[in-house]
Amino acid sequence: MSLRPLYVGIDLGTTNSTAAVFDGEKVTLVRNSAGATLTPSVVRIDARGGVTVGAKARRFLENDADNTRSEFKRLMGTAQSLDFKAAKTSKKPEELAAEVLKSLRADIKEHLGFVPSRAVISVPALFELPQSAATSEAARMAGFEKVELIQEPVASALAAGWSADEKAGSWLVYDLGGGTFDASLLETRDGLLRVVGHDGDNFLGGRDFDAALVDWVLQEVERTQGVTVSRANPKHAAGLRKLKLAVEEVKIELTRATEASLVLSGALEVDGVAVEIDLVVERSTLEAVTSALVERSIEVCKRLLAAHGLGPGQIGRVVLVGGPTVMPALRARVREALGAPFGAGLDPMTLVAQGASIYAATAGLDARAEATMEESGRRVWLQYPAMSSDLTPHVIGRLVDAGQNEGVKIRLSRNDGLWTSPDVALDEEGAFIVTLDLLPRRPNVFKIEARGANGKAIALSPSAFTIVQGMTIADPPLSRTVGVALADDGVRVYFARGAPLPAKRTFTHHTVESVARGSTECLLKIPIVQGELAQAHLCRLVGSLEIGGASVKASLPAGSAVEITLELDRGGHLSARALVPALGQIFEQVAHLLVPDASPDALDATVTAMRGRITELRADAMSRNAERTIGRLTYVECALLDAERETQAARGGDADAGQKARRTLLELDGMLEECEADKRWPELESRARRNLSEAGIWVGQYGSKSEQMLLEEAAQAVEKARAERNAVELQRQLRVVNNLYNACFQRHPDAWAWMFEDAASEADQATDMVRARTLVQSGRKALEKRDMDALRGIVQDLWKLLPVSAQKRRLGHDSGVR
Amino acid sequence: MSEASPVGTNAIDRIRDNPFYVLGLRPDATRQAIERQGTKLLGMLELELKSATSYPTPVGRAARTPEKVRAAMAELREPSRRLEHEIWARLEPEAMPAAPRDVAPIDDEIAPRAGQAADPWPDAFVALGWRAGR
Amino acid sequence: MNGAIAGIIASILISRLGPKNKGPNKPNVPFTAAVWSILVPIGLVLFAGVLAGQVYLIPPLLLIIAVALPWTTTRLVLIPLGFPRVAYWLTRTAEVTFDGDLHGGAVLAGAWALLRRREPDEATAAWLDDRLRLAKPQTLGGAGILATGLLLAGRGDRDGARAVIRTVIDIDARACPEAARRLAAAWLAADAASRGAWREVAEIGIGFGSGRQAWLLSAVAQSLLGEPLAPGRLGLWLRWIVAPNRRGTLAIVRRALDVLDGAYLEIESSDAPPAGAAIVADDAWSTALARHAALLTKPIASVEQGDLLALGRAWDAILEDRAAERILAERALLIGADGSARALTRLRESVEGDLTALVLGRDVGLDDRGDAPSPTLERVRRRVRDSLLVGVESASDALRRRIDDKREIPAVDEWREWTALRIAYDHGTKLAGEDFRRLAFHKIHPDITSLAVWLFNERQQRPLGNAMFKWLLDEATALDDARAIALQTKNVACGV
Ligand SMILES: Nc1ncnc2c1ncn2[C@@H]1O[C@H](COP(=O)(O)OP(=O)(O)OP(=O)(O)O)[C@@H](O)[C@H]1O
Ligand SMILES: [Mg+2]
Repeated sequence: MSLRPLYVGIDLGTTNSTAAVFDGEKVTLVRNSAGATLTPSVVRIDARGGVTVGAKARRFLENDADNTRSEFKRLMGTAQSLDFKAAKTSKKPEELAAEVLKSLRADIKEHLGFVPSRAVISVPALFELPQSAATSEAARMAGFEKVELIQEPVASALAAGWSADEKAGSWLVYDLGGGTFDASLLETRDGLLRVVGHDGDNFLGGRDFDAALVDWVLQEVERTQGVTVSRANPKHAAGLRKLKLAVEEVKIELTRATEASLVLSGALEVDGVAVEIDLVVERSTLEAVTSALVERSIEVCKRLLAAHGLGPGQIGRVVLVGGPTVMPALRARVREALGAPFGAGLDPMTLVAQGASIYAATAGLDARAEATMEESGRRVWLQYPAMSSDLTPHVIGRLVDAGQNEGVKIRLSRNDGLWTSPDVALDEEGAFIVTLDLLPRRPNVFKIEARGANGKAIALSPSAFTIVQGMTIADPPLSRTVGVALADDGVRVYFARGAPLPAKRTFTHHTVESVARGSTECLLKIPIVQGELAQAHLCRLVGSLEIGGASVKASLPAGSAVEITLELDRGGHLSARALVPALGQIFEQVAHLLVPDASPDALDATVTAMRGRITELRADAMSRNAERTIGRLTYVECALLDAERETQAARGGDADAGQKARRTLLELDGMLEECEADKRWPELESRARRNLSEAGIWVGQYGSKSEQMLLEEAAQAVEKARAERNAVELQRQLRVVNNLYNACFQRHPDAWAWMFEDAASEADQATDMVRARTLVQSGRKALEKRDMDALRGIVQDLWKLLPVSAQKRRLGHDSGVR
Repeated sequence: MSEASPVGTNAIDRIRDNPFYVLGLRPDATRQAIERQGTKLLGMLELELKSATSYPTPVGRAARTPEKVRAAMAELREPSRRLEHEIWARLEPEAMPAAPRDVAPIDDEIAPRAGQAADPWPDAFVALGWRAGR
Repeated sequence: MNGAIAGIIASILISRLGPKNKGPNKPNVPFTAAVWSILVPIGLVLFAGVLAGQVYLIPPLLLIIAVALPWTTTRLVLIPLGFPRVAYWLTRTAEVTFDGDLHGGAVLAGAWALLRRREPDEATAAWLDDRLRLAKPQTLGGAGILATGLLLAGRGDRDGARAVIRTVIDIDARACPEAARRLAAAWLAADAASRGAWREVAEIGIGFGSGRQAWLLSAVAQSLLGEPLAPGRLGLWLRWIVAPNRRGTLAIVRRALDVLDGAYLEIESSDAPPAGAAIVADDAWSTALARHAALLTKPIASVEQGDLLALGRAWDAILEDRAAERILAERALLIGADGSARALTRLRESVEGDLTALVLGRDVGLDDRGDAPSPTLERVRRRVRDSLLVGVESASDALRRRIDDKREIPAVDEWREWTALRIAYDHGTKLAGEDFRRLAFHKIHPDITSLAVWLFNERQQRPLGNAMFKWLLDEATALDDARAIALQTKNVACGV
């Protein structure tokens, strides 16, 4: 076994996975049994339950699709199980990921000679908590004792930075993988790497390039043979899968060649007739059908730069990562659009794994099992950075066993013999602090010696340690904000994006609903959400704490304080607890939620509903001539078409497409809501104006002095709210205005007669028509007799029968706290 | 909302948990000094050294935890956040030793003059028959 | 003889505890009179026998006393001994004392007895609590509300207990026995005294009507506060004599007498100088920060309007000054931050947020008087108001949803929810003034009316509904809202 610590990093990719080992000086890629550094993330389980992983399994994708699975990374954190027909089992995505990790672990063992117990695994930057947690779980199942996660772009940048020469500058990591696109802006300064910002598209990657090409092929088929192949038809699913694989090969071939042929016979059948495909695909065709996708990725980059006040050309270097980035057209376009040189000599396919292994050093995750070297001597606890960008870091030590500390002197020396620390005495806790001196860019081994009061050497365990000098990143930052959803649909942020992990925080909230002891109906929810949007319902629900009537010791009235503590570890595990001081009780049962299923029916319903909203909004925007809104609506409409296409694919059995559609719809919902808010405001404003002027008339005529003064005040407040564009405040003031209006209006002798006529005209909408009709009749009689008191009672009864247009949409994930 | 507690517990954290105070540094510290000091404190906390477990602030001593140190380092790495924290760390940590006015429990009968006339009567519930005496 | 007496008593008890065919809460006064006319003669005979040395007659005599005077027995024997269940059952017969809320009175007795136990007893607490909430058609009255409060106090939730017990007074006298009212006053007085809130103690017990104990404590409080109208030595001693728990109250009466003797005179409250008075800082930044820090560490009760004003002005000196921005911009350049604007915005945000929290934590509002208004404080005032409004509004919305969905919770919990809302409302009115009051009232008026109507018409909780109507009427009157006044006057007239 190695004397120096070794660090393992794994890139668990959608299409391919890679492992790398870092020894403090250089990174080595681990080769699998086939001698390749990339292991396809494909798992096959045969009828006898035998598991095959990697290239061998990949070969079966085409002909034994029922027993071979790929791209399960996209389903991590969902409840979706994947079936293996022959073995009659089904596996969760993390179980399949665990198989891939096991296979990599075996390869690492071959490479190192021992089984690694600790490692760093990379995850996409935009992974949410359930997805990260599933990844940690997969590592646990694969037999790792301890893993930490790092975001893929951070890993790439770390790897790129490790080998770069310049000390400072900004980097853009452009990571286009099998299914996700991440753009990250990083900055190095004084050897410290910092993530400045992230952006990305969870649903843009190589497979979209394939899909675009597939669409083109199907169009060609339709054009030349007149047959239509639909993605929504489950019968075509198998054929399409084969076509997709063939197309992917063509795409890869086109990186080197300028044209490639695509031949596929008998794979697809439409109405009993086999569809023959025999086409020549030119590179220019591929470039044409995928250029929109490339542009989409560039848009994301520009948006990211703009968010940090940078324009294209203001970045020092672009690091390309991922399979599709080897496409010549893409490289050219990215270079042109971002105006920065590419990092030289970096392998886009393995950079992430390399960075992960370097990060393992920063995190001090030595792959060697604990307590490998049993030394004799006094136990000394040491604390030092396993990797340090600082050339003169501190090492802190403490002699922990019960020995004589009086007069003991400690001395450290670097093993090249060129540096030795002065003698340091132990303090009353048996501790010492020494400032070291490191040689740059390499592992530095230090010896530690102790001498007793009598000058005799004391044996210590351990007697040496290693610090690697180089670029570091201190803590993997949280990629998406985590908070608690509030009753008014707001979010109380606990951990902002970029917060260091692990983290823990407590805030006091107040309940808005009562929880009656013993009542099963009462259930107070504390939803935990993740996302960057200010409205809770647009964020992802990642967990929920519940305080139920059955579990409280005493009833909890609305308005009670609840102290909520959230805790997040580096593996994406969230724990939450709520302390209710009034009860002296703690609630910890977190319902951990999975990414919700995306059923095609539900998706379709959402699409239809959105269409309706768009039509309504468009009509209004046209009438107001609101160009910005119209533009936005057009965008939403286009995106909706995309979502619809994905929904179709989901019907054809593509679960990932369903997730993509769900995601898109959520984003579009947010946009539509903004448009609706834009629409509501002028409505509210004009209503305010109308109500105010009407109230002015009535209050002026029938109001008392104080009422007139009140109206005056309210009118001023309305003006102020209008100027501030504060809808909540405007509504509040309108309540006052309307109240005054009503009070004065009713003082008119004929007021109840008018209101009666009004209500009577709507009687056909009443919930109880029979009773409404009787009321209208007796109302007419009362009117004849001019019995206003009776009439008033009748009108009030009538009102009760008329439908209320109360907006009952539950927002904020039904939160019971504020 | 108990009436004796100091105001706005979360508000006081802004000063008490200011990264500079947590790290025991002044606002002019260099980036390197911040990283070095942070790593050192994390190590000391890991080794459970008493000298690292608390730190002075203008609003009294506070407990130092690894989470706080990590958060402090992360906050100060981002220049614009750092700028903000520099403002709040202008006071010297020991500038105003907050002296919590701890009211010693007084025994009415023996030393009535020890407190003020309007001091609380902690035994009220027992004396008035609402609770059993000790 | 003993057997015969036991038989009579047993049959009386059974007839009282058995199912009643009369409406709930209605005491059986004629019946009680009849019982007395039997028991008193027997009791006298037994008493004569005991006097004559017939010792074996003592147990039946005691039994007779217990049956004839159930509340007195409970109060003097069962509660001090800590027998909650027996106290509950015996008080179920105390129809005269708990006229209007007999059931609540029984739970009250049990809860009090439970308080007197040394060890907490969850099971009995839950049992008593269940008496209140599970007995479905039972109408909750003043005694029941006090009982709820005592159960909360027993759990250690004093704030919750105080909030509930303060509402006993709101229940119409027809559903709130005199005894419950007096005990509530006594508990509140004890609570205020233990917190040192003597001003409250003084107010609770003004006049003899709130009970002898509260009356005594009120006098003590007035003396302790050095009020000119405080009763003198004689008055104090007199009240002490008539009030119960003489042994327990002796100490505090002595303290009050010492005040009258001038023992505390020289220890005039030498309060700490106002926050920041001694702060001589070199620049505006340090001044503001020093004041800020000083105020944050001050005990909440001693934060004064002047402190806030001084702090607001100190921040104005920075936030309203362009020089500050320049200084920050220079520093930003030095450390590589992208400008000072963000830091300044966030600083303003933090300052206003902290000040808002500070004001919200206190009980006195920021009034807008003052010669030079501070822009910072102006914004803080607005935030305070908005935050308080949002609190009331969201509670009101949640309540409205529950009413619309017809999701019932037990009457006790309905009452506590309403109480919480009202406390938030009162707090808001105190802090944010008339503006808040009017806006909040228009929001909650329809929702609370619906709740009250629901309780009143469909859920046999007329006293609770009535109390809400009354409160709404009072508020409407204070706000001079003609329509609400008209509506609630009629509602209140529906009685309990
Ligand atoms: N030469 C090539 N030209 C174009 N595309 C390629 C080429 N080689 C690989 N790809 C595509 O790259 C994708 C796989 O890239 P990569 O291995 O970087 O993804 P991954 O790391 O598995 O995915 P992710 O990072 O999203 O989890 C596939 O869609 C593949 O078709
Ligand atoms: Mg990848």
